[in-house]
Amino acid sequence: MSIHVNQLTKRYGNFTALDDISLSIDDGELVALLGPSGCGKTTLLRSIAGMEFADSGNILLEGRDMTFEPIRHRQVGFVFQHYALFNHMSVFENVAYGLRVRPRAQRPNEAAIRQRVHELLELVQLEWLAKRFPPQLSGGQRQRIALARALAVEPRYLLLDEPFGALDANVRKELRRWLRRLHEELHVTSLFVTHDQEEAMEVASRIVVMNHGRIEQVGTPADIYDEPRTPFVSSFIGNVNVFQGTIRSGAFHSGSWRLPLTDARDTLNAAEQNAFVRPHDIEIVHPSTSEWQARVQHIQPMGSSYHIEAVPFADASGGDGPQIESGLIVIELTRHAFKSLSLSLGDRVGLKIHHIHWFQPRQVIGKPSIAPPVPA
Amino acid sequence: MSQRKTLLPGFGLSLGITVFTLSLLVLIPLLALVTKSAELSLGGMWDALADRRVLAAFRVSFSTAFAAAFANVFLGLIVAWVLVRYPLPFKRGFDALIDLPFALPTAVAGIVLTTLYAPNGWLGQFFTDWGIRVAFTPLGIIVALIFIGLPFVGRTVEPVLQELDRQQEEASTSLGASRWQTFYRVLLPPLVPAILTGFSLAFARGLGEYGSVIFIAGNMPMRSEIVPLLIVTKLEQYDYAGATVIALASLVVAFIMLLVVNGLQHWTRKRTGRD
Repeated sequence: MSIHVNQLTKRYGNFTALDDISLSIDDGELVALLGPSGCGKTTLLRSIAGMEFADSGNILLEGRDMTFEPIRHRQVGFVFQHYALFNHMSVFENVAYGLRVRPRAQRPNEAAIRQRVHELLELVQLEWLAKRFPPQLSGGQRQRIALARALAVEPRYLLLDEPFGALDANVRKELRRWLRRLHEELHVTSLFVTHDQEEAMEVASRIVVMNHGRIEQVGTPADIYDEPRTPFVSSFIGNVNVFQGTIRSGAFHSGSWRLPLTDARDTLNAAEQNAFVRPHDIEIVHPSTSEWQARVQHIQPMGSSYHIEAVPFADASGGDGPQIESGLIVIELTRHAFKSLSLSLGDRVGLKIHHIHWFQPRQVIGKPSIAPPVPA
Repeated sequence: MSQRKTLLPGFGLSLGITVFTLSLLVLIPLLALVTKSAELSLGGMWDALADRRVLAAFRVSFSTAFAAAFANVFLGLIVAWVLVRYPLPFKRGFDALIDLPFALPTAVAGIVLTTLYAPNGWLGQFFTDWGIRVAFTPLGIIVALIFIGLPFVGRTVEPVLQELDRQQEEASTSLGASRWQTFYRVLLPPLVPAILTGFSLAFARGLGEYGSVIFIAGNMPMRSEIVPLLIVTKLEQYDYAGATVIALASLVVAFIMLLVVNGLQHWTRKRTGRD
């Protein structure tokens, strides 16, 4: 059950929510729409569902043009961030709803409804809650019931709008895994919206990164993380240090810092370039072995890893150090590496850089290089 | 008795004020009503109530108040719906207009409605063409009571409607429900308690309404005479005991009906898991 979106555009007054969006999703995929709030991801999802109608462009479901078809003819299951369960109906009746409102000729009999609802409640592992009412359930339980309700009508597409956005961190983690397993079991084409890059990486087989109503990049989680195509993607997916500078005579110059480049590809563009470096692509070495030196200002234990914030030193010649948006370099060390270095505050360390993504400076979007993605 | 700590201060004081006000304004007058009517023997009370004219007045009062409250359920729901859901020009103006029946002296409302709906009035003439008489019939009473009772339903339903989660309606349509199914299966049930409250308020007000009704009713004994008017008539004839007996009976019946509505409300809440 494929989804094709062709050149979809939607404006609210002066604000462009969707700007010429084209996207193809294959049968059985589990795709994440990822982006900061206001990037148009929810508008795109709601347009595919038939809750919003675009100004131009079209939407094909299974090759049929459904752009102006109302939602009830699209056979989509929709899951809302705030559940939207019917509070005056029991859990059982909530799940049975889609079957009960069918035209009489297609409506299953009472026994069949009962059986189907129990199957679904079993699937979401909440059969024991059948007689309760939604206000009596926890957030995680409500969202699972909402999912069971959406699945009751055997939708061809499952669309989820920030399905875990309103839940606790722990419940969210559990439900993510559960959703992925459910998808492996059911193989219904699924599309979910999230602003949480970790969630997108963990659940989706493909990620669509959106910003300002446009698609920045589409790819597998590994593609997007390892080969970000735009500065936005690089800084939105994971943390990144941005060094501003130029490449000339085989080296990268940022302020007074100089980094000799060995990779032929890296030296190709002799021009102004920004170096995007992931915190874990920086190694801490003895100060004598590296020209790039910094002082440890803050050590943040993150559980499995440590984040080190370091203030760059000017080099021996008395220059003013590298040009970094934030003035700080963030380095991520594994627990093991951190222990073996036995760092303490104020230490002078050398830095060795292992991997860089290059972007033209004018592409840089004014966003602090090391800030985590902003939740909606 | 040990001092219990509660989060809200002033429990004793506020309870005292509540009991005092209730006694002064509600309980003592009611008690006076009971004692006054107790001047009559049980047989005397029965005779006062079993009078054909009195029974007819009861029939007129209860049927018109019920019909008006019933009509107001629909009208009030539609008005609240329009005010909450549609972007209207001068919305605030319309919103304030709903409360007008509260503020207008009821006699003024009665006179205006009578003038309009009299057989030769602006609106009444059209009804006359159809052979329908509005003013000076029970229908006129219903018109007046609809006017008086509209804000009760509108105002109780409006806030509940405002708080309804619109995504529930989207969820309903995404599951294949038609508009009508979404309305009566998803939208209406949460509104039922508020509708019942509005209904009982409008109904209670309709029973007691005097000022607006006496002008339009025509006050023909056996046909369009309401209970409050009958009470006033008795008072004017210095039949104080008879007046209080009628008042008491009216009160008891109204109380029972309100109790039934409350019970109904409790039942709907329970059935939908809100208790």
